[in-house]
Amino acid sequence: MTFEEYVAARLPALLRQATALAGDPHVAEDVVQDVLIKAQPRWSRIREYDIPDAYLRKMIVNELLSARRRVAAALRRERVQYAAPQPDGADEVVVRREALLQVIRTLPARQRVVIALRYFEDMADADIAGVLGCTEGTVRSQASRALAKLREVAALQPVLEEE
Amino acid sequence: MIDAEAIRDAFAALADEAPDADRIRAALAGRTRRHRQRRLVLRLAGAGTLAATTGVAAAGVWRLTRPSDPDFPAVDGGPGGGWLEVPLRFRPTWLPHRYGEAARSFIVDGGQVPVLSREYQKGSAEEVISLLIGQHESIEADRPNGETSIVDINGSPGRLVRVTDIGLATHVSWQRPGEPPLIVSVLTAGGADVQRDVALRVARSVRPDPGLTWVGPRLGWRPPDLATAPWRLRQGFYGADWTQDVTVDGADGRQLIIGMGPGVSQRFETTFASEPIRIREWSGLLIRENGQLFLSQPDGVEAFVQLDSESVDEMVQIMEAFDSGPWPDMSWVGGR
Repeated sequence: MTFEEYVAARLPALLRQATALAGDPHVAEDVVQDVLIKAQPRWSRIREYDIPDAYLRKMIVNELLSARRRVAAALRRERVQYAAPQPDGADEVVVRREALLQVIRTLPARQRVVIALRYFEDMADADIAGVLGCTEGTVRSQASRALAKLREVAALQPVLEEE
Repeated sequence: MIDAEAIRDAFAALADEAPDADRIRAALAGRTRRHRQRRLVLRLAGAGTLAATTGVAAAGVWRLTRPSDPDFPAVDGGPGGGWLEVPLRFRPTWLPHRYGEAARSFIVDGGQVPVLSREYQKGSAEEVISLLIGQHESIEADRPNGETSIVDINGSPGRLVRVTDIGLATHVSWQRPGEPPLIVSVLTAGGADVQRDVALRVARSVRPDPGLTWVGPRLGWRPPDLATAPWRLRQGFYGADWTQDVTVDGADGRQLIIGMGPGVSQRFETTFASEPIRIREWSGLLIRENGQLFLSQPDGVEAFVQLDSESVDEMVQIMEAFDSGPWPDMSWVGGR
């Protein structure tokens, strides 16, 4: 498979994956383009791997967690305010999802990547550790912190519903 | 209640916001091409020499050339030697922890090497320290400009220049009577004060180096506008492969690039339409629309050649007369 054939076939999936990992479609767009530009000169090697997607995913994760992007993400988090869910006339599931999305978007990049890989990609913690180059214990602690923040949404929800 | 299913739903909704693939695909082609051209120019445009005089160029080049392996690899070089012997002349006897020699660059003018640059890097950070020995009119315009102070380098007056226009770099230049001018350039993290301390300490540690090295590649024929121009040779590594890059700049901005090494095709893989070509013992591909050649020699050395799309015949003539020289001695990589 040539690089162009791979991009034609897999770009939509890469963009969806990157958007989930980044929490932001604009960042995802930038990251995927950067990654593909870096991947192209090495394509003769990458295509020999059993699963080029896995290699590209690792590149996307690395790019998202790079120092440059971490700084940009931190600045973005500072600017973003948590928006309270709007319960009036909205389906409870939709309201909760919107609340969760707000939190996911503003998680530190590493925490968001961990829970995205665990819940969106259905990866085991050991595999996530392989992608991130860390221990399973680190994965679990990052996931635990992220989930604690997500649970705050659940804690918030009943209060809003009682108003 | 926040359960796994709710989190999955949230991520699925997030993924639905993904940008349109067709739009990205259309933008990617142009961006890839621009990136490749920029990368080639930065990687090969006499990076080592410029590294010592322009901080921005050094940082940019280093980021793009640094292999992913943070440690210095065992580079499989050759016996060294060449048509022009070059005294190393000077080296720093102190460098920060983990720094080792990563690249050497030369300006070749006729049968002389008026400028030698030695670059030192360390594992993972985007940092470089270089020592530039000598002077040449072709790099005068790149001399650092910025906030300047007078410093003492072992009894000789020196100039410490802090450049802040794009990124922070600190340069110390001085010249002792009867010796060539020297410039230590420091592009490290830690801020201005740290850079100043490192630059001064490295500069004050510079001592004569009795070692020798050689220029191996030789240009036999060049187009008239490039025929007498000084050219640059940069020796370094990419992964575990040695690299030698020759760059010749014309007065009108035209640039000849010849990148060589055992793994050049991996550095410069192309997906553009190509046609087979054979030039002496070289065989490979011509990418006419970009004015590029990808060539291989029987001994495993590969070459990437670029001039411009209107000069394919000249490019072929250059390679017909080009002598790549012996495989360079790379035993100095990682040394101090």
